[in-house]
Amino acid sequence: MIVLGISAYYHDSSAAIINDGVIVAAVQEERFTRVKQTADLPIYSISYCLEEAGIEMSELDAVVFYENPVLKFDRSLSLGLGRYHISKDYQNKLFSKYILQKLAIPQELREVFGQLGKNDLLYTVPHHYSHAASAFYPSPFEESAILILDGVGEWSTTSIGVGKGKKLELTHSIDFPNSLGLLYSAFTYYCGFKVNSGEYKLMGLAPYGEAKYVKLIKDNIVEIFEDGSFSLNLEYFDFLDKEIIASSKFDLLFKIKARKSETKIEIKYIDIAASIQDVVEEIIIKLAKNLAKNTKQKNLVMAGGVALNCSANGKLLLEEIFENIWIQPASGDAGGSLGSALSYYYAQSKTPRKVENTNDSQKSSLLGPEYDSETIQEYLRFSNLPFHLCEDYNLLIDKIARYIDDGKIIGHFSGRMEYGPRALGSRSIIGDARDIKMQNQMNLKIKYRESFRPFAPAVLEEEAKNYFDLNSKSPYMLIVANVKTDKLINNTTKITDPKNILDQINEPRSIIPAVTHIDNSARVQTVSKDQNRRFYDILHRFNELTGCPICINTSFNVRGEPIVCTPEDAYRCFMRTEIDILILENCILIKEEQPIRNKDDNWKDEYELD
Amino acid sequence: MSLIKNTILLSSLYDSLSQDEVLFFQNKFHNFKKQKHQTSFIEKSVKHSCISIFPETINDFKVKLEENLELKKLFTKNKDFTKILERVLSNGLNSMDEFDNQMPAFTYTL
Repeated sequence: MIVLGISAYYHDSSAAIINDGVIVAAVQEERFTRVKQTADLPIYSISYCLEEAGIEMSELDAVVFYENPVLKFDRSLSLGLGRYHISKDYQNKLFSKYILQKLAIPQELREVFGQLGKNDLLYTVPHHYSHAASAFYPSPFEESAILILDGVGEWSTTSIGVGKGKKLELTHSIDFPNSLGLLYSAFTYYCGFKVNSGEYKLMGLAPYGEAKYVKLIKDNIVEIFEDGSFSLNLEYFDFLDKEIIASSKFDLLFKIKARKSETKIEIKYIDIAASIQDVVEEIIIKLAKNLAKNTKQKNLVMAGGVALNCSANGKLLLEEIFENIWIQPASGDAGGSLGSALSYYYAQSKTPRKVENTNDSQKSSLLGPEYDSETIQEYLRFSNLPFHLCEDYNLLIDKIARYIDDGKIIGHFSGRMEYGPRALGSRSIIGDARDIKMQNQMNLKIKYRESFRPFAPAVLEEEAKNYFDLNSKSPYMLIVANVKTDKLINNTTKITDPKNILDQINEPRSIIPAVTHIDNSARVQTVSKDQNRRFYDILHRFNELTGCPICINTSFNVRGEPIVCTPEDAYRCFMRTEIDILILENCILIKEEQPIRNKDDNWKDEYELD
Repeated sequence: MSLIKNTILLSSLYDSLSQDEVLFFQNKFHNFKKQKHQTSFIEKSVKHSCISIFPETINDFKVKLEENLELKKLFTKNKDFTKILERVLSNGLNSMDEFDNQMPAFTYTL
């Protein structure tokens, strides 16, 4: 049974295709259109998935959409009518968007692709079931508890349940407008970052601050119950009336106006970031405890945008509420396409679900397009771009490891592109984690982003325990763990100058300073031989040369740009930044040898800053 | 569909609500704060995945709104709204230009 899943028209549009429950391909539309988190109908992604599976749309057993349009319509219209007397313009906009886009999806798809599967029907799966299926079915667990943490689906914002074999049940939900995602997004907005993409920055900022407003937030903005459920005080939120999420009551409560984007980050915002991170962690831990108590499960799977909060995930792991945790790497709405396809398959299929107890079936999340060496060489020759072909695999790995050891910054493009927001080695910028200047240099000269933002370490799986307080695998970079005490240079997280907290990023804290955050934590990616062979070999060779099994791994893009997809995207990014070496499969491009280009700042206009 | 035309569409719907119905929708998001709770969890009435077919006719759509009687009533009360939805469901965006051109007629009847 071949099933295509689609998510679209909110953010992070994507498509995924599965064959008898096995993931064949999955990709986000942003990678093709080059518009970050695009909400467009994922025409390019669908085309790619069909091509990868070698099938026409009309031959599919089913085409599935990741949410229920009637329930979504129900919420949009109820919201529109309930608040119409207050905010006509906003409600009209909301309604217009709904009518125009969401209800016309089958017709839109038919216009491009013709008949929708053998039955010419579009099936739908509720939003949180799509998330739940994306988390449970690819996990390495025969059975597990399920926790979905989201902004909002149709009505649900948080769902809990259990998966056993093929069966998946969500038993309870917390519904809109009480939403953990919207709560965090409100603080993201208030601290001057973009909603739906800046949440990650807020999380990165939090460790610089002191969580001194936790009580204020809990007394005024969110009430937390013992079972982990919560209730928002809607006086503090404007999402019912306008696109701005946090109301002006935030200003009064914290005695500071909402920070304007790109302005200096005052210490108060940093403390607020630390405080809301604490509150969210408290809620997640309470939810997990309640879930463990009620389900008696030893495993937990998670999805939904809030499940990308790797600091909270790290704390959850430390609590040891569950023995094992697996988080869908495409936890946001991008994962909905995969989940909807899996949900349909397991509901219809008579074949039992097969579970590998050691690895998940997410295939390292390397599920996107790949370009072979011949295609890349053809592109480079056609474009008259100088390169060195290195056909000896071991020599190539050795060269890359030596470049990193020499302090070079590498753009690494190899194999299938990652599905989900994190680059895991296939479309990555990699550098030396031992280099004290690397974090600042990469942020300001390569990524062109805020200097406070931390970088992640990619570490050989078997060495992870020697460097981090981490007792489990973290192949998808979704867990934050502390750097081991014996690797710290200065075992303190004390702020030496409260007025210039952000300047302290350059103070070395460990023997891997470029990936050690101010609180001595790191967002770890463990790399294993069987899951990501080439990236593993690079780290292994680097370890042989230097005694350090760790490199910086950050996504191959500049700020606001989706991760590169094609060799052309990679070359463009290489030339616009101060990346020293570009590796396209087995072709090596050296910056000094490339044709001189005029200073190219077009990307600043081309990509909306996140 | 232009915003102005849509304003007419939504305002028409709003105007067709009785005072009680207006209050129902207005209270929908605010009832929670009025009483003391120990949890905000809601037990799901349907616990399995409920795969369904994307509604492509107004009848399919109405059937699937069974659980929300307030919204279903709107379809009965406001024929023009139903007519517009039917059009969108059956013709998709492809016909929106044509739909837009015909909109003044709808506007008039609304």
